[in-house]
Amino acid sequence: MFIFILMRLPLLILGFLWATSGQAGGLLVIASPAVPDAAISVKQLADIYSLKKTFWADSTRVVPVNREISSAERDNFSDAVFNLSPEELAEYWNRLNFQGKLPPLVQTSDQAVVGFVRSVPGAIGYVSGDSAPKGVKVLLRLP
Amino acid sequence: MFKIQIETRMRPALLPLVLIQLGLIFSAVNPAEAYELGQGWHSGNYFVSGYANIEVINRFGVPSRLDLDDLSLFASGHISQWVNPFTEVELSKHTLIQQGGGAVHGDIIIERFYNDTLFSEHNTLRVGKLLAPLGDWNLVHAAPLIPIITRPYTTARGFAAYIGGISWMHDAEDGVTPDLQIYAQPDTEWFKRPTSQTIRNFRNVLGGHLNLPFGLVDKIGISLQHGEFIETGETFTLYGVNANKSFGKLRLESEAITAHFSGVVLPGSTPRLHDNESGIFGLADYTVIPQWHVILEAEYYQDHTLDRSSRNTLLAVAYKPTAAMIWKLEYIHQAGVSASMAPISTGLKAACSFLF
Repeated sequence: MFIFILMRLPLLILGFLWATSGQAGGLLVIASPAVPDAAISVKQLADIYSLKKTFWADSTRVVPVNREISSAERDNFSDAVFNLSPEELAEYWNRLNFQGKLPPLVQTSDQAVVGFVRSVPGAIGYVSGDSAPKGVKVLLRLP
Repeated sequence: MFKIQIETRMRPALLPLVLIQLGLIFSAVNPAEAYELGQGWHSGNYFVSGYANIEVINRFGVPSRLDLDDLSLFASGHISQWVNPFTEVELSKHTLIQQGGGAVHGDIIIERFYNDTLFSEHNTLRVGKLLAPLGDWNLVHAAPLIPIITRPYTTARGFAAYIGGISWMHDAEDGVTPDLQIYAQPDTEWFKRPTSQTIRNFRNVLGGHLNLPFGLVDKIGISLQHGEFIETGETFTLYGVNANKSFGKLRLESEAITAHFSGVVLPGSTPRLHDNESGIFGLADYTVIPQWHVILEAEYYQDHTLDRSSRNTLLAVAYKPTAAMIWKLEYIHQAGVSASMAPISTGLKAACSFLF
């Protein structure tokens, strides 16, 4: 029995690594189908989430969406786009909130983000995974 | 009893504003949205949030007390390119418990009340009562957003911190050239704050602020303000600089101002002992371990009506369990004059502040 388990240990480790790498896959930046842009750069994405870019090219208001602060997706997003922690970014948004600017809305699952982005013109968010959800457009892939 | 005091002291004109804000708070939240402390409440194009600050003050030689220092609500609407109102109403400096009895009732104050017209994504016209962009501290002075309890004189005392009038804001598109804000207050402050909240009032104020950001946190700014000091009739011209810089766990912050006062002092008002009023403070905030900060601050301030300068140093510990909440404990030592500059005197303070 012991030898049986030992022989399968490398397979279990490989399986674990595969599963883990799948969970830690990249982020898709998605937007409402009504958004005029077909793609955006990381710089433009940073401008949106730092609340410097507030309108799309067709004058629709940009509605950025965040995941909750404890989520792995928000941690990855904060690091990939700003090289900051979610807490540091939250402090930045709190300062802007005091100055009358709306911080990004919070949705607590990928499904909720997709649902919100699909239904709100001008909305933009991010979800984990590699394949594009239905009813939204993918503007950018983050590592 | 607390409610009765507020109602009897509240001016009738303020009641609708408070009711609107309370109504927005208790209106339906977008069902798809989760609430996080500090996130506020959205309802369509409207947004409500606020903050609270509770302080325990133990100054040497003065009765200790527990204050509701600030209970602030701000509401905004993003209705169209032309209509983007914002208002902040605050219950300020309400003593809850005082050693030996006695109480100081707070004041209801309209801190800000303005509308933004968006001429483009980077150019905004603001009309109403707004915070003067003089330095960085004055724009983000809410207790949960600042690391210490005691506000340096340099960030508030020598200038008009609130402007009732008009302002133009230009945000640089390229991120390289500085942001610019200019403003004018043609008369006195709108919704004037009570004398318990401010010792100085200003009129005919003009000013501008240049802000050069480096990323989201670091920045350098320069400020200019010119106006008239109502209580004494003097005119003043003020120059200021401010800087924020982070080095990993260490964040440094500093502001400095110098103002030149001129004109004849009105009879019966405080005489001018110096033509200039100047101040500078430096603050170092070190994150010892996540959520725990040690802060050291020092300030020099020479008031133009006082012979001696104020020289204070401060050591503080802050605990931030979340980005929207902060617990603070600080000891401040006042080495210079303090009698006429009551807010800063030697002693201990503790506070809990949170955004909601």
